[in-house]
Amino acid sequence: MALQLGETIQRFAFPLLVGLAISLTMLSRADHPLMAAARTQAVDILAPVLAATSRPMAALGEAVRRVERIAAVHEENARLREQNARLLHWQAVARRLEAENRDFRALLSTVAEPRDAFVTARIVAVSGGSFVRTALIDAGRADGVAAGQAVVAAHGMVGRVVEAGARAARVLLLADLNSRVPVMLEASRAPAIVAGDNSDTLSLMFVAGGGAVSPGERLVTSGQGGMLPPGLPVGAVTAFEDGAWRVAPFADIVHAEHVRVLDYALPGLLPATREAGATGPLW
Amino acid sequence: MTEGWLPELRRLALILTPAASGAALALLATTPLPIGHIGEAMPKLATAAVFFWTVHRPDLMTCGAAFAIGLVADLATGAPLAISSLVLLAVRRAVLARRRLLVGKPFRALWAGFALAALLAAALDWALSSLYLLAGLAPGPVLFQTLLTVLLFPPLAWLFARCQTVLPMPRLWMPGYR
Repeated sequence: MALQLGETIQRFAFPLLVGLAISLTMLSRADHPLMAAARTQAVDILAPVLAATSRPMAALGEAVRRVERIAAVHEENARLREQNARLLHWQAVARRLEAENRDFRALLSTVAEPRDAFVTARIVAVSGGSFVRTALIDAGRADGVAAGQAVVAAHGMVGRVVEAGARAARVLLLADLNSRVPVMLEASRAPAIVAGDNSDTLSLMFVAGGGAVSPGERLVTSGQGGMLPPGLPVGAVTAFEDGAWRVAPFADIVHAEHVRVLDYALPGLLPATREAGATGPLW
Repeated sequence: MTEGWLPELRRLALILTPAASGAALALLATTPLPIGHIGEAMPKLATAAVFFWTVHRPDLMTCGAAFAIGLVADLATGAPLAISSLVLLAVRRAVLARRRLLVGKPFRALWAGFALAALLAAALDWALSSLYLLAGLAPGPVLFQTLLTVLLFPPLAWLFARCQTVLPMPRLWMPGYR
């Protein structure tokens, strides 16, 4: 009797679970709010577990890098000396431009750019090589992280927050198929879109005016749409392949351990959330 | 009095070992590896768990377990929910049908069987994900990922085999036991 029951359960379990899996896939394809809630919940539950397993891996990576660095310490030192001399020159230039800018702003009474605050978070998980390119970070709503915010590493933009749990958040990386970032060519200021296609490089689309793009050109965020701060370095144009310019991202997500989440709110563009029960006039 | 809740708890923990090992490997596969270029393509370790346990203990790697492991994998990577569940259910079904070719055979045969299963799983995953995204995805990274998974099978199989020796005997008759 018990044997037959077990057999029956197993026989029906397969089609039942396949059906359930297909329905779940279709629900997430349709962006059902239930799926979004489940994902956000999962981010909060999984992040502490993944944070624990990623610690030893990060330590191992650091040890390997330390050995690599010792081997190259002389070349590195010479390179840094040379770079330091160059950067001191740029520092002088930047100071002069900053003063000049301040004077011009005062003369023109320009609207001040909103200041961006940021939160530093650790990457606790990445999904590499599969069909999605995302990362989990150990900062969430409690730390001021919200969906849509830009995430940057040392050298440039990494992606943006798509799901924010209470204590952890998921970041859609630039390389993901669904990633689109409004950028501009740094020299000509021509707007364009940088899109991910699941490979290690990005593709440049919709360059305004069919603009003249040349290899080596730097791309920065344009700030169009108001969600991302303008001027974040994204990548550099490399080559023209299969009818599109390829872009090498500046940020190295594989070796980045910490990232910054920028809290950039353009006043007046996004509806401000009013506290429930708040009284008194709006202004 | 040897009967009590402690031996029962131990038994339950052992019974859950195959499913738990799959879920743990699904999570481990998302751990960032900041060394060289290894971190760019993480292997699908959970497939190895589902394959090994379906061959050796199909009563413990049930449909429900395969489904749950896939769900954990998708939630951890942020992939479309339940695509991995479908893939792992298909792996379990395919392995169960050819179980007799793999049980009690030398390790070479098991490894070759896994290579085939991993390749089929990757192809199914690729097809389902392409369908989901309505885009032809580049197969290169997937092939590299599959190769890495196949290369990592021997150490994983060794670990699973160590676990297998302490698992309790099957109580239920299973379609897999012929």
